[in-house]
Amino acid sequence: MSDAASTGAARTPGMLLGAEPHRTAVLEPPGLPRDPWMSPGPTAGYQGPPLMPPMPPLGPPLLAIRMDEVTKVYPNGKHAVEDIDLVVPEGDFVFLVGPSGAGKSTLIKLLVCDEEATTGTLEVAGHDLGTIKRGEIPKLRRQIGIVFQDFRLLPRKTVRENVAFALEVTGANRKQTRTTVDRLLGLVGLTGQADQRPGQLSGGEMQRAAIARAMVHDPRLVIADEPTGNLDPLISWEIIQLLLRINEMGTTVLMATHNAEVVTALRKRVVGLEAGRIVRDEVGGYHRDYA
Amino acid sequence: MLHLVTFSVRQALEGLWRNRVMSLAATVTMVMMLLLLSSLVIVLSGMQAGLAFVESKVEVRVELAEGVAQDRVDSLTAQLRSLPEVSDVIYVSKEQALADFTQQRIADGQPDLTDYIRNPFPNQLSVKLRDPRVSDQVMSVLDAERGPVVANVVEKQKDIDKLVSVTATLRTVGVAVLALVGLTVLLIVVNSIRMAVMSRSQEIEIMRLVGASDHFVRWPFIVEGLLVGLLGAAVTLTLLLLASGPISEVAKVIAGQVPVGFSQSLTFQVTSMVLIAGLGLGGVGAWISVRAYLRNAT
Repeated sequence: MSDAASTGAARTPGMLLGAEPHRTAVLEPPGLPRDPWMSPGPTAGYQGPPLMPPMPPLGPPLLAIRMDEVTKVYPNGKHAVEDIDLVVPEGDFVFLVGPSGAGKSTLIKLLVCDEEATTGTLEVAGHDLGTIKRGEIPKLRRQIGIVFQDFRLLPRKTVRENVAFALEVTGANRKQTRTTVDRLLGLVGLTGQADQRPGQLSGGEMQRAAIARAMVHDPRLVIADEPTGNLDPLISWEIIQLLLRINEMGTTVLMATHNAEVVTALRKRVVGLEAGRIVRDEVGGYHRDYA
Repeated sequence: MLHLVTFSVRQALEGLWRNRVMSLAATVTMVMMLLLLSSLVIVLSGMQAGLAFVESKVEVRVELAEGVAQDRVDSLTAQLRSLPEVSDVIYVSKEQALADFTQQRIADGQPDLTDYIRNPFPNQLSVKLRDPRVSDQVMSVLDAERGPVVANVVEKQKDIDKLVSVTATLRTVGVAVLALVGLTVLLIVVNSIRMAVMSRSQEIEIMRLVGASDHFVRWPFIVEGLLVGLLGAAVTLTLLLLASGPISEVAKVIAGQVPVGFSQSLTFQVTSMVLIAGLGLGGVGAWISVRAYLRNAT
């Protein structure tokens, strides 16, 4: 992102957001060369039927995420994200897009308290991460389900044990664990594979197991970091459907992705990052050309 | 709480088994260190018993001149008694001294020859000291009376000083060696637990991401360290139990009439020290290791 771009940023109210006043950068600097990743792909014009019915109106405007002028500078001087203003109401489904190195991973690390913001205020699920105590971080993380591109399942444990592990290490009792795990394996459609190890599963099944694990604490927010990055298109759709279903049940979903097809097709809110700044925040479309 | 305990123990046992070569190495060095510790305690306690025994026997023996008036002897006795470093002064007549000598020879199984000799013993004062190594005042009083009243002073302090210095040296060297071995054990435990932590880094990362509290991350490893310590202590105590009989026999032969061996208090002392040292080193080593890791990984 050039200086011209950042100074030319026009701050307009977000399109999706409710009562909470906030600022969202929508940036369209004229005359900048378009990045190759932004150009419309062969599937950019997906015209298929909407995959999900529109969401019902939300109740009170609770916020899953509120970021106010958040900047993260790493000790080596790298400005990973700068001046991020982002408000995500509860129940939203948000795509986070941007080229590699744009700051998506840093943003996610900030949200799950894996990194601390250098400046700015950051609230997640009602916790102010600037003042959160170390002992409170686990409680915050139980309200966030995290899904990764590489699944991060424990290879020695079965699917059931992998999901149960997340409950076990947070002090849940055995009976409670069993009920929850059974319910979630049903939700992601892995009841039949419960006793298999990750090595025996397909990529899609592994990701579904990871999603089940992310859901064990009934999180208010699910953060998925490139969840379809290692999957073929058909399986990717299955995973997206699953995340949409979870969103439909009331959980906020923030999904970082490179998958233009999915982003364009779903007409959900899209937040674009470039060189650490939010360069767009609007509904639908993977690339910058929008109607 | 109970859940944390069962979880930690289960994970720790799994970790010990998964890393069994390193666990074995840690346990074996732990056993060696604990054996060294207990032998040092046993030997030192033996020397201490010997020292106490010898010290209890030590006195300043004052040989009185022939034909000294009783009142001069009484006044010397009173004067010595009034010194703070003296615990008691006992008058031993020459007949009593000969009788004591005869009795000791008989006790040692040697022929009683006293019938053939004239009693060689003078009348004596036996001065018992509070601290066998402090006798300056006694000596100065006796020096003042030398000649008319005091014929000779027999001191046994030199022997004690030797024994005391041997004991002190042994204790210093022993503690130094023990400290070095203890440090080695600590480092091995730290390393062993670090390997356990590394081999489970994926699990730890997932635990942290799903919101496990630090206790659930930390305690399995600390329990693993404690188990290495406990195992080491158990093996050490078993070896000592097997060896205690022969050791006592040897000690009796060497020490003679000095009362050494596995008294109840020594057994208790050694057992508790081995347990505390084992569990302490295991727990502290693990704690250091996990703490260093978690601080880097927050």
